Amino acid sequence: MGEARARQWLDRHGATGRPTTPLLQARLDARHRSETLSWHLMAAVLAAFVVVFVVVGEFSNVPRPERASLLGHGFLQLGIFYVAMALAIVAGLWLQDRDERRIARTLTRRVAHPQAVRVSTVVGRWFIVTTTVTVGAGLLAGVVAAMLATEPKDRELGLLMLAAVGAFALIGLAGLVQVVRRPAIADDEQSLGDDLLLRREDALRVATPYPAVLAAVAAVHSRSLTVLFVFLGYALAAVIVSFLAHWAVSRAPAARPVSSSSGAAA
Amino acid sequence: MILTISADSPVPPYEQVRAQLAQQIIERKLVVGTRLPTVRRLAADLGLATNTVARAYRELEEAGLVETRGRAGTFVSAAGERGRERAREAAHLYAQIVRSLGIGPEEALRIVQAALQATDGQQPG
Repeated sequence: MGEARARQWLDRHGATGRPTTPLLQARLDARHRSETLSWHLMAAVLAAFVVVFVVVGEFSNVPRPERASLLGHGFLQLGIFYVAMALAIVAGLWLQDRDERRIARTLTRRVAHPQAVRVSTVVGRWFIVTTTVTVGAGLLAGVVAAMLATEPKDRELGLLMLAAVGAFALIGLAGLVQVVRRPAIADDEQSLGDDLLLRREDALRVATPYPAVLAAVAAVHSRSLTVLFVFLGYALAAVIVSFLAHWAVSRAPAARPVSSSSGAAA
Repeated sequence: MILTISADSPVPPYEQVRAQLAQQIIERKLVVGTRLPTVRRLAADLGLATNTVARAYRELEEAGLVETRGRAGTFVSAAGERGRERAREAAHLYAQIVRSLGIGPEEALRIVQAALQATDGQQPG
């Protein structure tokens, strides 16, 4: 299974003729376990929310309009739900980190870059673009919506959006620190290049497009056309950029180790 | 361009790091002003103790190949460039002396080769 996974990964990154290695297989297996854990945790979060907010809410004795005003039209619950989903991804990365350290200890030969590698080189430009749009534009959308809102409800939505994007940014930062600080796990020049590409894929895992979903929900509940367009415009931009980033990185050519001119900070 | 550490090698790990970095600096693969990884980062990447990498960096600094700029990090020093300039000046002076003594170019080169061979055993690393 590990062999097939490694073959598929190399083919996708344009290295069709390159044989798979036990190291690459082990690392991709670790990623598979990590993603499986994340999916299981996400399913558990989903089940818990269905039970708490749908089943319990449906049979609660509290009158429906009061519940809606207390919970901000479901936006707050959805925000908590997606934050829990993002935490599930970070938990998966933590498991992967532990597995990879174990793999690293089995190597009798280790290689590293002889020069400092910039964070931007490690995470890749697509991560920077996605984060700028998802977090930067998300915060801007929240501020603009709160400022342009003529109705108190719209202002509330704008502020909730700000808080949600801020929470996602913090979780993303925790995941990013994990990805950047992880030691390089490589035993030759090719595997050092693979290490860089795997980090870029991991970085994109923490740059989730969840704030876009929240913005879409906020748009549905907004009461003015201006606020609706601000949220919808942001949601659309974040989804498109996120899709493009995942597509581009998943098909990026197998990376080579950084050269003195591209990765070194002078 | 990579650094390799082999656990099976009889060469101590600090010497493996030092020798490879020194070679890359001398061969100008690592250009002047290039920032080296932090001691902690390189130690983690190579699976070594931080003291091991710190020792290699210290020896490179003593040899004038790298310089530490406080918290900014460790950089490839320009001392290597200055060393080459001094070597060129010494060669120019030597050429003038052998010419004034009437020694031919072939003999002058043989004298230099003999001098280099004589100092080979004295050079560290």
